[in-house]
Amino acid sequence: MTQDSHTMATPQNQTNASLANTLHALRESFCAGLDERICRMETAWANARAGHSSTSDALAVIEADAHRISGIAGSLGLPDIGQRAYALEMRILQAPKGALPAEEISQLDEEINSFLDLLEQELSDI
Amino acid sequence: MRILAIDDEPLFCNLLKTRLADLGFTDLATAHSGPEALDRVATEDRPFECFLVDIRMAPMDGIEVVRKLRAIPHHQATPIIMISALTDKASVDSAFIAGANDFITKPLDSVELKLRLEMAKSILAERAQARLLHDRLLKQEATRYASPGFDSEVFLDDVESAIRMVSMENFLLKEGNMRLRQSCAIGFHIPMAESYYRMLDPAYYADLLSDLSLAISKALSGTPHMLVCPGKGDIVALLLNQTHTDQTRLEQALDAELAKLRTRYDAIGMTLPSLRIGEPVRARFIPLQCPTTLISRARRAARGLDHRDDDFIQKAIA
Repeated sequence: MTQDSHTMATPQNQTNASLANTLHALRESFCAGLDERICRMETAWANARAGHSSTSDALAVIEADAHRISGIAGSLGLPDIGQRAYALEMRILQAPKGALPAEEISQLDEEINSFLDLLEQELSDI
Repeated sequence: MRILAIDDEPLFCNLLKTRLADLGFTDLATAHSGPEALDRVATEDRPFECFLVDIRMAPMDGIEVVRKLRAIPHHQATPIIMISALTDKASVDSAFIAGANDFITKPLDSVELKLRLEMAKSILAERAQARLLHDRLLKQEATRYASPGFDSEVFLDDVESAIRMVSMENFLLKEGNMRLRQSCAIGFHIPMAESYYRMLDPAYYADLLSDLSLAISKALSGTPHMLVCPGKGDIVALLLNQTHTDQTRLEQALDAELAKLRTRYDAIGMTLPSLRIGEPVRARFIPLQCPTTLISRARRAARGLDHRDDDFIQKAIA
């Protein structure tokens, strides 16, 4: 008699399946909250670009969200998002303090938008 | 092991709960801020046995949480593991100084998580053993063979900058060689330590080391540092972000502190032992694969021994 070991309902397999289900649910929960995070970062950056708020305040908002995303995305099996969030967080932390030159803002604009695009892409893939 | 995880990201707390349950650690409570955690600690009937603390939180950051936890007498030695993103690394030094024992980086890795929690369990077991011994001492049932050996680590609970040897080793291993290049270690040795150990009650011997460590800590005030007392009459100070030490100034400051201490000891008819200071050992001279060698080299330098044969050092000190 032969039986595929992958299909056997052993306690270990049940535990693994349960863990996978829980992780899947957590990942869905993360993605559900992503929209709000994207919106917050987009709004902060758009306001700063339009001159309604300071660039440093907007970068603080984006950096805080990027930090939280980098902390959790990798652990939920979304390594690309985790790494890109980490890269953006580092980029903002290493940006000069105070008024930024136009070239710096332009580069940041590109990197922030690219990151937001990635997050939106992830949302649309769900 | 009863664990309290403190992280302001609820999703991360849930993830931690799932991961820890998978590793067999099912007794986990969570708090989403420092004040909430401290409140739980104060009101919980069953004390927590391990804390997992995120570094970056508002309104109270993880370092402040550690300080406040350590100020609670029951939690002076409870294992505290920091959870940090790579970008928080600069804060990790402060967390260790505040009293953290270890840290885990995000994203979570199951193997790392398991190892760190096993380490916490071993600290708990060690602590339970120490408590048992303490109880025996109180009942005057302690005997020489049951007391910590001369070679054993002495825990300096009264010295703020003192940490456990395992915590310092974790710190050195986690810091990595590049960051350690900005640090140095200084060893201190009591030449007549074994005679004092044999002459004194174990509790008095521990008090003596505690007094000397406090004097060292005061002499190093202004320099971020951590102290360990690994046994055999040695004390090691790890100076953070300090590649150059004014040895003469340190010796003068220590002499002044020891003079004050000597007056106290004279008053009770005890002779304060002398303390030998080793040359500072810098991480840049340490082979890349073993950052903890810094401790053994500092111990050896304080004994005035040769620095070159690492195998011999490990055997002599182990």
